[in-house]
Amino acid sequence: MKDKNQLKVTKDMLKKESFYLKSKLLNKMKRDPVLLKATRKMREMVIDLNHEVVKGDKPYVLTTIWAPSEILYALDIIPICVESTATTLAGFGLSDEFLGIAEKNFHTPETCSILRCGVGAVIDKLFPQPLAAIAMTHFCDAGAKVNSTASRVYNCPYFLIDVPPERGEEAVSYVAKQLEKMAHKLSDLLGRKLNKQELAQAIELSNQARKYALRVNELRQAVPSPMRGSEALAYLYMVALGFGSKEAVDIYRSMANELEKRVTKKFTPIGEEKYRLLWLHVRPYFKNNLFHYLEKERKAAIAFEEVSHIYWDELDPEQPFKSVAQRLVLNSANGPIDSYTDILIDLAQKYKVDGVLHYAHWGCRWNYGRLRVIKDAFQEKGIPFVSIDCDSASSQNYFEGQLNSRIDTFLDMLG
Amino acid sequence: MVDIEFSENDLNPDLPKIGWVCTYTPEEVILAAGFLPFRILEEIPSTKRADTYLHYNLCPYARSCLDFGLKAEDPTLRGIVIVHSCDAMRGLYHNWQHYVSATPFVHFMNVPKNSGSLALEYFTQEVQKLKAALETHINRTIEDSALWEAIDLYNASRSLMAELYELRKSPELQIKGTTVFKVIQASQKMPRESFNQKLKSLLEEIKNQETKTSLPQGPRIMIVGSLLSGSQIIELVEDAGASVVCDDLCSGSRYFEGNVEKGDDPIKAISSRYLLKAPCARMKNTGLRLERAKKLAEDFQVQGIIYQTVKFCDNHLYDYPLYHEFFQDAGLPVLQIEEDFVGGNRGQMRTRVEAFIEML
Repeated sequence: MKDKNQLKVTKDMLKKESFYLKSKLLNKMKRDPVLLKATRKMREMVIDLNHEVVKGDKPYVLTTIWAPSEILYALDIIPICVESTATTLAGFGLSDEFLGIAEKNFHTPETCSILRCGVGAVIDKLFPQPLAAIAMTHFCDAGAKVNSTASRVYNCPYFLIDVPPERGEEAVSYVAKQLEKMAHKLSDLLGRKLNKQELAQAIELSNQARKYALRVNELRQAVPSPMRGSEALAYLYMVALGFGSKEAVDIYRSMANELEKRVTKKFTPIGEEKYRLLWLHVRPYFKNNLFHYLEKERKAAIAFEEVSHIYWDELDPEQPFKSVAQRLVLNSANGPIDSYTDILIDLAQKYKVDGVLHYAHWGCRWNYGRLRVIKDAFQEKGIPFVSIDCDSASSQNYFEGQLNSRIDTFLDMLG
Repeated sequence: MVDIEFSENDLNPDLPKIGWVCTYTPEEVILAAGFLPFRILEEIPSTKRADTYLHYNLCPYARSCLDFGLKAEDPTLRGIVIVHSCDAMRGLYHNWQHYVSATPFVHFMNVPKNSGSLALEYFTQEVQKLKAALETHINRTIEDSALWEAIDLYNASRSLMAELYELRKSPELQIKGTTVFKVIQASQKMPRESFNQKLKSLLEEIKNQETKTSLPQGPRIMIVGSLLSGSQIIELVEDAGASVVCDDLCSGSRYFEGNVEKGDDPIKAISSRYLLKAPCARMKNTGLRLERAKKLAEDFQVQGIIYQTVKFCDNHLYDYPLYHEFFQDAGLPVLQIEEDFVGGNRGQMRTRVEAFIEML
């Protein structure tokens, strides 16, 4: 059925303020009785930040995912992430248009569709002039390349933060020094001084959000699952870009309160829970029926998803760069593969899942490079695991019938 | 026409080896530890065994390296140093570490994408860690004198290879691109003393030729890209009547350009050379890469560019639009060729190369 609150979006609309005003209104009106207020608030945060960027009121940087967000919020700089922009475009049904722009500009279709859509948006100058482009190296090569392209397209400074895939003190110290240098340069670009107090405040906010996020994750261990996984997967945005903002504290606090009530009442938004799953990697961002099929038809709850795992300790406001560096370096998926698989197995046990579903986004090289080791680690523990080759931003590579068949086989095997 | 041959024993001597897969690996440290640094790059690469471990949409070179490890046919291969040069190499490390049992020494080394002072400081620690890991493995200290000795050998090698390339600047070419390719490939596998001796003899032979025989004067081509699995692309170019006169490849000039500068601390000297060497597409400084490619094109009087990518190599694939625009602006036609590394698409590749050369 057609949702009358769903906007038909064109790429030109995204450059106009009216689009964000209307989106904000529709977000408030959208009928979804089990949607958390926190999720509405998060959507509003995303709309507001993009609105500010379009208005040109505030400086922003184009960044890759898992940004040092505390530093950016302390400097009052909006982080706009190429990956999350691409996934939003996919949600609007616009990814194919931007993928086409990338391909016309000699970008091969054999790369990750999320970043290729992102580079299409950069080439097309979907965004206004950024203050700078920044990229982190711990996840993929392509992100650094896309934002390097952004720095050329917009003729703006480019900060590439090397985040080594190891967990030693040398790595943390190296990242901290780079972050400090970048923060000073960004301050210079803004024509202001880096304020220690503002940095400490952003760290405090990050810690508060972390405290509520940990509570949320604790509550989500409940059976039945108090939250739709399809909704929870959207919180990748918050974990990767939201910490350090006031909004993140409010969103996670609201979420914790709402889930507390649901757990007390043993309420599950999917009605009945037949299977519990741990979800790995990303999700399809274009319009799809996957989650409806999983949650509503097959009664499979996504009890938890790896992207929501809060892996870092409380940050030290006195040492903002070292703390943020630790948050980047200690990312569960960074560092030794065995530490990562230990975390995943722990999550599977903690969330009492029946099986693990890995949504393998085609073109994501670093994810495919570790896949066999992950699979074997679960197998060794006797935890059922399925990996589904799919695409996150291009519906052209998404075959729902096949996908559902694989899910059916897997769920039937679980009993 | 001058040529060179390497025997099977030259290319795979019966010596204890440590494998490497990326030209950011400081081979001097491996040599100083008493091992032969040996690039894992088979003449006819296969990915058959590796395909159940690494997905087909990952770099076929990385898959072929894993295949080599899984095959475990070389008892002299005692270990491997895998550099975090890209996502595929990281995947290679995860899988080698878990599934290749034949090599007792497995070391993963980080290389920054930046090349400023902070990056160099960090990279120096990484080279130091490699040295320490090798010392633990061999249970003895690697002396500075051994490092300087290795540096001298490698510097001599690099200078000789640079001299060989220098000869190709001449309009009258006396050496084929396929021969040069053989030399560079051998340099990544052979003991340095014998390689240096062999290359010296080749250079002497070229200089002392009584009658200079030149190659037919066809279009002069530069190959830019990652690494070639074999000399097939060069053969296709040369069969079509053109000449490959230079390259920006990690199986070419990026491997040997620039020597280690002598100083007080060999680890610092090695680190500096490797981090600041002719950059691969993985590095941040794309402008420097373009400038270098432009200078090579000028110095070697290049008339056309072949931009080669190994399939699924994001770093080089993302740079292609940039190179395309850059060389088109410079009036140099560019042909992009994607290699699957295991010998597929040869017919199609031949047709495209021939059409390109004809157009020139």
